[in-house]
Amino acid sequence: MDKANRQRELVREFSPTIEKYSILLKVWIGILIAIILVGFYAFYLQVTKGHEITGMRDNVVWGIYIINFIFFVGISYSGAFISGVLHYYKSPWKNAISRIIEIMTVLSLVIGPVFILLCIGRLDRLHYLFLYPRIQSPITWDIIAIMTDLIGCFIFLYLTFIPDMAVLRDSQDLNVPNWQKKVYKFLAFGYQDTPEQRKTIHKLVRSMSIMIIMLALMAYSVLAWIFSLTIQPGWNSTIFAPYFIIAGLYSGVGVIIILMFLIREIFNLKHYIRKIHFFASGIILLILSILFGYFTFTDYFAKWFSHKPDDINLLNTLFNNYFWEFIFANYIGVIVPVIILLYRKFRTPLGVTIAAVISVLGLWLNRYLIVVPTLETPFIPIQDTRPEFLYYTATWVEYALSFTGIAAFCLFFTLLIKFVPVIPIQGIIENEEEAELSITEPNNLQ
Amino acid sequence: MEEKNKSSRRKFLKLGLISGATALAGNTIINNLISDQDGSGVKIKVLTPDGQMVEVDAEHLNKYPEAHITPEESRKGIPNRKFVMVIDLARCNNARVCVEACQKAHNLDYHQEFMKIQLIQDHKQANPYWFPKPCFHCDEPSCVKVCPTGATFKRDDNIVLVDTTRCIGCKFCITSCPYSARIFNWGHREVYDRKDVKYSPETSVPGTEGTVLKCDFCPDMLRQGELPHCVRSCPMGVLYFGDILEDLVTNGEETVQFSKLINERGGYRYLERLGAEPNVYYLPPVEKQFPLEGGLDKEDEIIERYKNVPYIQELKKQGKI
Amino acid sequence: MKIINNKLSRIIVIIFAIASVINTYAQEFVQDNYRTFYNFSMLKQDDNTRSLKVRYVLQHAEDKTVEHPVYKAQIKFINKLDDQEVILAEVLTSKNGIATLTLPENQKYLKDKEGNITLIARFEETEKLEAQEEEIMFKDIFLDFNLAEIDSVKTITLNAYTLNNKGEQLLVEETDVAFYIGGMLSKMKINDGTLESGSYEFEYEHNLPGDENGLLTFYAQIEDHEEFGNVTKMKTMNWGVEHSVPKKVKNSLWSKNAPGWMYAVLAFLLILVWANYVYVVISLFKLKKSIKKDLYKGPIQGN
Repeated sequence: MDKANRQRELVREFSPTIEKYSILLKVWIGILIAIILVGFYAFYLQVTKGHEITGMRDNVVWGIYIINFIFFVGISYSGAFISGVLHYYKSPWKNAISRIIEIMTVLSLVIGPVFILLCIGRLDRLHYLFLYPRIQSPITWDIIAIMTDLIGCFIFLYLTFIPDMAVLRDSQDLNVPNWQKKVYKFLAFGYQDTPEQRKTIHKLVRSMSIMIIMLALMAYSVLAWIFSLTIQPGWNSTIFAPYFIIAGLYSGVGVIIILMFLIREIFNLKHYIRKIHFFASGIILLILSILFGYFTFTDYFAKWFSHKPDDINLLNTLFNNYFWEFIFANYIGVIVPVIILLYRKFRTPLGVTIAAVISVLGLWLNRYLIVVPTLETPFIPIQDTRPEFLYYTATWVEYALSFTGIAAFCLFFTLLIKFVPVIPIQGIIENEEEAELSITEPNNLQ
Repeated sequence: MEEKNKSSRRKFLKLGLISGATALAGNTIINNLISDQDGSGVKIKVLTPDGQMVEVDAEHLNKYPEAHITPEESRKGIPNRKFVMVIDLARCNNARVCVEACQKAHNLDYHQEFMKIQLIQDHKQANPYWFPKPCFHCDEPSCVKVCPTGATFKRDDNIVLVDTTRCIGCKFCITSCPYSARIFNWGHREVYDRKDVKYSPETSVPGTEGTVLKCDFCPDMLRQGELPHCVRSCPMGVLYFGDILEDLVTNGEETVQFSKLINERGGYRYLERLGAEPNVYYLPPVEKQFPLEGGLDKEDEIIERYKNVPYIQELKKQGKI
Repeated sequence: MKIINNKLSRIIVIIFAIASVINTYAQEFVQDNYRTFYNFSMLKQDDNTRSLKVRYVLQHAEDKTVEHPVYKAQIKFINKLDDQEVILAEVLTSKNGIATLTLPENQKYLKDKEGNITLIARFEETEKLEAQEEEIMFKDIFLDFNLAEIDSVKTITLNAYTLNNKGEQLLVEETDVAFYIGGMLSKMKINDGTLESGSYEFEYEHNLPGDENGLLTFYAQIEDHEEFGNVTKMKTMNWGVEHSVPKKVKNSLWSKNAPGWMYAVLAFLLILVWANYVYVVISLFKLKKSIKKDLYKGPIQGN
């Protein structure tokens, strides 16, 4: 195989997505920016008028912002975990989706902490977290974990970018502005794809992937500990850390499937993102869905059976005030994906994606049901008359900022895809070279 | 005709000016008699010997600015003391004077309560009782554990304070407290712009938007040998306050030995099993001195708060409220 | 200013002037709307000085929560004997309506034949306020407060006497005394009784811990006695019971400094992770250097 020719072919194949700004794309970016601007206005209102304009009050002091934070950070950690695993083990079909996963990891880890910042009462004092840290506090652990993980994921993402930057730098057919070409040259870091360099990059990626897996597990446990190290009923559960990890993985795989589907359809990459990807991720989603359902069930079942009064108060709130959310999150969100994924007939890309959508929605609701009902049923009952102090209802400000987060995610994803090929070109070439080697040297199958 | 009108109007105006000038002169003289020195911002109406009712700044209880305790100094407690409170549930009648005195002293809104009065009915057969609940200033406080910046801290004299110059408003402590003792400043209030008092965590005045606040056991009063505002204002003598190291507590009228009081009356701590080791003890509501209905003589809004207590629901069914 | 000649105008001016004056005194003070509290009290303190206090406050007759202290009212403290009046001092009331005076131990008083001293606190009548006067008549009493451990029994003794005109000691009879132990915020009553033959004794049976050095402060007080007024005597004694002061907790979850092992674990984990990052970055830079070297070597072989 002539590598240079193959590179040129691939670049020609992927260059339209990088070069062109179609009308549809512009409209899409326009809509996203509009949503983000509404969010900026909501943020401005919140900063000037205070947190009064949110739905949070003295008892439910943590609302949608924290829920979004847990959700986004969960997706990120799950992406880190999965890409770590994928890169550690060589597998030919990982290449098509690895970049999607890595970009998703980094973006959601950037957007997630922004939600925490929205929940903080005094943003002008953020630096106190670094001037006067108390390491006994789970929040301090969480900050350290997120920062460390963010840098790790950036390094990891960059390592996987280097070979493609080199390809794009060397390509003559790419029709992009000069500044973009200069950026490619800078980011390629002089990579020339010699065998040694290839080996070095692989080695570095592999060592980082171990680190990333470990970080993802620890960081999400730390986040779970913010809840489970308190005494509150509903939070003080011993399985919270593994439960959060399973739930995070579940939601992460769901979002990956949705992204895979969208990119496959929009950019017509059926050749690369194949049915087997959906099949495999569907199986993984199925396993995670069963695990998630199992963890949720054991948690609530033990509470219900042992009948401690604080737990019973919590369960009453869940089943009276949040009945339909509970059903959707923990029953529909588990059973429907399981049914879809169990039957081969339904295990098409579209079917798997539908299952993923349901599971992601169910998981967001599950987060809501973890955070809010516990705060509504404290040990000493709330004796108040103001409805906003008894029950939590999010205001338009919080919803607007939530959608802003999602829009920001989509916007950055879109812009990044315009910068790098959504499927690593170098990976495709390396896979094809491996395939050739195994044909020409059949005894050297690995 | 017009001329006359004009001139009389002019005279009228001049008259007004003259009498206005007299009034102004009178007031100035009075004001010079009474000059405000280091004001507390609180105005009181005093009578002068010549029968004039004048508003002056109250003499500052805390004798500021000399007595000002800065946030750094407030981290060290009053030496050789360990403060403790005892609440006699047999006497509480929901007078709510403690709530109002505390709100006045700390510039709080009507709905912001450091001292909350709950109505607790332990079980269906039990009689409910009024339960005043300040911050318990626990020995193993869940709130202090989780503060990421150290804005809330436990002192050597048992008091847990919040330094709102350091609080970033993450609200982790509010979610952590099992006794729901903390509240949050959700928006801006005019009283936060007060310039006449310097902030001290010991007074919790003036507050700041976006920070956490709670009952502080009034260390500013304690430093002057005065009881906290709630204790001194309770008309029934429900609240006792003292130092566990010298084993004495007082409610303003009677002083008793703390260990004797607890042991003879069966004093306990609320939700002891949670292990927070609170420093507020309760004397059980046995042989209650006042019937519960006496405490129901309050605004509807306050009685509505207790609508989930089975006893109140019974009374409502019977049409007694 | 034009001279106003018109008679009508003159009347109008007068009316306006009166109205504005009335307006200035808008909250017109009428003594009848208020109840007067004028209280004169006296206390002989532990160091034998005498503290006089006048509290002058007006309470609204209908709304009893409204109280107005009288400020800068001049109170004359007078020692009176028959028709003779000696002004001890003139004190102005504070913003709280309180005027205090402390007379030293060696203050000379005019005494009558029986040794009684009469003190008056007088507020002279003003235009708007009635005159106030209150009188206290008392005899000077001397207390001897002793605490001792006699036969391993903690005994508290109080001896009291007065002096007659010749300077002889007369033992006090039939006078109630109360005993307290002082705390930070208040005093706790431990005993009370009646002085017989100028003496009262009781056993201290409480088991209070006292302050950090085990010192207890005892007070012997005569309260509101018709002959002697208020008298107090104080003494400290190290009769505090052994009590353990809880140890100061350091390096716990609640203190400023975390437990040592937390620092160790955190440092270990962070070093592990960041060492890996540094290793990766350095390797990348090494890669860049090696590329440059390779370029100098010659064209790349193979694919």
